[in-house]
Amino acid sequence: MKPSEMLHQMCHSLLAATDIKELCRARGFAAEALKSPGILETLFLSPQGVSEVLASLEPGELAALHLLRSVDGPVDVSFFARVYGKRNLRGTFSQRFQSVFSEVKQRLIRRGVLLWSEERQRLFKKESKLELTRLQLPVEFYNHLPPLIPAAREFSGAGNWNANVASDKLIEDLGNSSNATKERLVCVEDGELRISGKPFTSATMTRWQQNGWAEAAKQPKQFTYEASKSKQPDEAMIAILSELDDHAWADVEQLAEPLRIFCDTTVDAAAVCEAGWKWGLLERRREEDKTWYRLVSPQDRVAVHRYLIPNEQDDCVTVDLRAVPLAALEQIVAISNQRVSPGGNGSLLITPNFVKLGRADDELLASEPVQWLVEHTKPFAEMYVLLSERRGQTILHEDVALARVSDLSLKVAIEKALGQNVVLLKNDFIAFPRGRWAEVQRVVKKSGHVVKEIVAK
Amino acid sequence: MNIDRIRNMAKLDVEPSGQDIRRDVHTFVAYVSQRRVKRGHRDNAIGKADSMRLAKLLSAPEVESDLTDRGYSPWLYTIDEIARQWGLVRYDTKGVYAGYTSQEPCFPDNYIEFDKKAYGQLLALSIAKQEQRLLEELLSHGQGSGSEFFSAALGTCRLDRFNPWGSATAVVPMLDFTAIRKSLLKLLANCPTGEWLSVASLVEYLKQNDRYFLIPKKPQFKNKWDDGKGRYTNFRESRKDHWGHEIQIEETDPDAFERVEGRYVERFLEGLPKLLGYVEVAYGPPKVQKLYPSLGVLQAFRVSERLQRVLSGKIAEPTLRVTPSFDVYLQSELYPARAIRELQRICEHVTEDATNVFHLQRQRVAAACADDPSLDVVALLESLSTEPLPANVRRELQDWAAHGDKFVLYSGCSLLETNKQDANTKSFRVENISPGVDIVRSPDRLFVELEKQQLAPLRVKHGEQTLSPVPDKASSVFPGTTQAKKKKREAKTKVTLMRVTSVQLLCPDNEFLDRLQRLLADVSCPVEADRKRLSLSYARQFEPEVTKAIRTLRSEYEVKINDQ
Repeated sequence: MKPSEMLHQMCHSLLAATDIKELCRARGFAAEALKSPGILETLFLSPQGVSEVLASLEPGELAALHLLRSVDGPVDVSFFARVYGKRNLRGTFSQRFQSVFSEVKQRLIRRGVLLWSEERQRLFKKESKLELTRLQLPVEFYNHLPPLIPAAREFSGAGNWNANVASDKLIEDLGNSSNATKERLVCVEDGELRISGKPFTSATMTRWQQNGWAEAAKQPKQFTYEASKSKQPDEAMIAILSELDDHAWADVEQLAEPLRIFCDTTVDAAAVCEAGWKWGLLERRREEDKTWYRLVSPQDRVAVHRYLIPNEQDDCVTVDLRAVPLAALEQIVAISNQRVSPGGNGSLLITPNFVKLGRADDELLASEPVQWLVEHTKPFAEMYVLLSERRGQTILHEDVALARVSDLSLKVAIEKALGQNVVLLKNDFIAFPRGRWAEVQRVVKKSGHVVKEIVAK
Repeated sequence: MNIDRIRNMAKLDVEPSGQDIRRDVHTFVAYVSQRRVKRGHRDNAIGKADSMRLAKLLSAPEVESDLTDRGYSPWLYTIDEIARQWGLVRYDTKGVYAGYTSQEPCFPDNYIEFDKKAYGQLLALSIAKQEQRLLEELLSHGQGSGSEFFSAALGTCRLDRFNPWGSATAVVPMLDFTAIRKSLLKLLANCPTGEWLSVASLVEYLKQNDRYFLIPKKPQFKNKWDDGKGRYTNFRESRKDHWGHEIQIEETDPDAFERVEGRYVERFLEGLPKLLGYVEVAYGPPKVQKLYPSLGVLQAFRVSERLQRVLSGKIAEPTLRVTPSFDVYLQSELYPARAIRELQRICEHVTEDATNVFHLQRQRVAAACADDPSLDVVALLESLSTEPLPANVRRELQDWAAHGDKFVLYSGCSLLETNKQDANTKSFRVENISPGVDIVRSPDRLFVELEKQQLAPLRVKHGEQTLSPVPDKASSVFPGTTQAKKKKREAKTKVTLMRVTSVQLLCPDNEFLDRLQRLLADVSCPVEADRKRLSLSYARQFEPEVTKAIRTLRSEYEVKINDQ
């Protein structure tokens, strides 16, 4: 059901007069809204009174609304069991969640911050009214949500970051030739640095770190309702910390309650944060006898010459894996051939690859590491000059229909029908988008001509 | 041959020949070749939708009503069967047993496949040979219990049949019906043509001259226990109804020949010879039937000269004549399938009869030439025609044929633009447009090849509806990014909004609301009443009518209107 339909149903059918009265009082609506559901429907999504109501909510309720925002869709009433309910596995759905719904209605619906609707009964599945209940936070209220961690603190300077997790893994896998290739995450195959068998990308490396964190922070399996939309501890922590401002930090105590709501179970926040720091995805610092955490902030730029060293004897360039940022490594790998340095000193030797350079887009070619390689190394400079000469000289057009039209009036008619979407080539040939074929066919037929088709074998 | 003529046909009912089996077989094959026809999973029959479409195309008018009433058409089944036995179409007839306990086979994904080669071979035969093949096929169609005695397999037959119970034993299985039918056809060929002859007389003739044409005098039974049963053990009559109390026909009965062989002759005449147009038949006036199966109902027949020509292989090839007004007249004694097929490609089929009339059409000629570049329309018509083509037709046809090249589409191709003349792309080239611009095939393989040649190729994937701009630095005839931006914006979609202002009157009570509503209804003023809220809503344009109604009520009420 669309939010607009939910709102209409809520205002016209579901809300009783008492509910409307309470809602209007909480949001501060004019008396007209009391009399007409149509007016209430119009006023409901206005910002009037939303911030005040949201500010008055309990931290648990607020965390649940933040989670609801990340869900970005309607949920059933079991979602709010994490805030208002006790874990009760017995009884029917209505018996288990009736009290939760009463609380939701009292605390959130009557205060005008949630949309409430009932799904239509399905044909072969008889469900209770409560099972059909759907609740949603309107998109218009997202910006009014107060911060998830109100007491986050700002400290100057950077924190402690385990920056070498990725580079250590790269050096370990590339330097240790005794391991079988299949057991290694990263390897060089056919002159190409690969991660999990695919071309290297920084995103895949970060995903490997996240998987490590998820494994370390894994909680014993507990029962949760399928519809409860609970998250894994690492995902929940990333979602919570991503809401902090740039220089803000949160301590473990502040994170505990939101983490419980997001995971729908009690989680050891300290252990989760520690694992996140170990896997290089969180920064931490000790201040005022407390440990504070935040997501890894964008790091300062590393000068290119600190990780790229031209090696003129071998016509190649050495990449220092300890110093190279992952994003820069991805860019370098995308234009070159790689091989492991024979010394096993945690470095990679690269030579230019013209095919890869040809495939590179303008943004990649203009990136800092690529430009540095062109300016400071002869092989890359030569290749780049060659590429500049040849780029744009050979173009392969795909998904374009090609035809030879030797009748002038027909050609004019086609040109008139397609406007600017036809290109006139020499010797009576034309090109136009494939999707316009039906239109062209109509013109051909109308003018009394027929289509002769030549199929490429 | 001394067979009695029938002078007075007034009381007899002559059966019109409504079906053309030759035409229908070709129509069926043409339909199947153009569509994917799936047969039923369980019954292996043609699906209902296809059957109904075919019913509209076939010559037999009863097919459609049979399908609607019975869900099955014997005529369609016959056509389908002949096409399959000729090898023109193929499909599974054995099926598979889906499980261990299956009692009958099923036919999953059984599509009818058209055999183009076999059909081409059939069309290449002369009309006489095609007819010979059809005749041979039909002569052998239906043996034993499938013969005329027990079954009406070919088309629509009026006469009822013997009870087939026990027909798999005794004398029937040993009869060679193909030879019997051939001998009867030869006999018919010797009959005088164009005259109505008596069936009873024909039976009498056979009784006197060829008494054992059907069942040998002393049949050599395969099984010992059949020895004592006699020649007519398979044939039983009934006086009650078709399945009622049965009377065994004995060889010693004086009229045994008429009751068995006579019935066969009747049923044979209304079968194959009538279906192929070799004879016409006439039935006696309707009577209350007291004997089953009927006897002496088919009373007269008339042999056509066609039978003699077919048996002697002297059927003339179709003749074609083209007039200066682009009309084509095709005359043929039998259905000229090949000529019709050829002509339908280039002409509109105007009339379908013994003389088929076509009209040459420019667009069809051009389309046929575009489809088949080797087609020479003039040569085709000249090969079929007995007379030379009119000069104007010849000239126009040559002109029309050239018309097929006016628009040539290159399917599944891509366009390659390159300034590098040394690029080796010959193996991918379909057509060279101009130096450096080629229509090419296999774009993926070509792109890899261009990369190998270090040409740094760019790949531009164009949109479904619009051409994508190429990068500005690229040298191309296609518009660049800047050029594309400069283009005018597309015209905005025009939208007209209708603004309707409505007025709501809140009434003091139900009574006033009812009276006002009634007054407005009398003047056909559309108002919407809400009894819960005691309100009346109407569009502003009806304000005068409402004012008038309120003015009427002022005689009883003191009305005051407050605006909110």
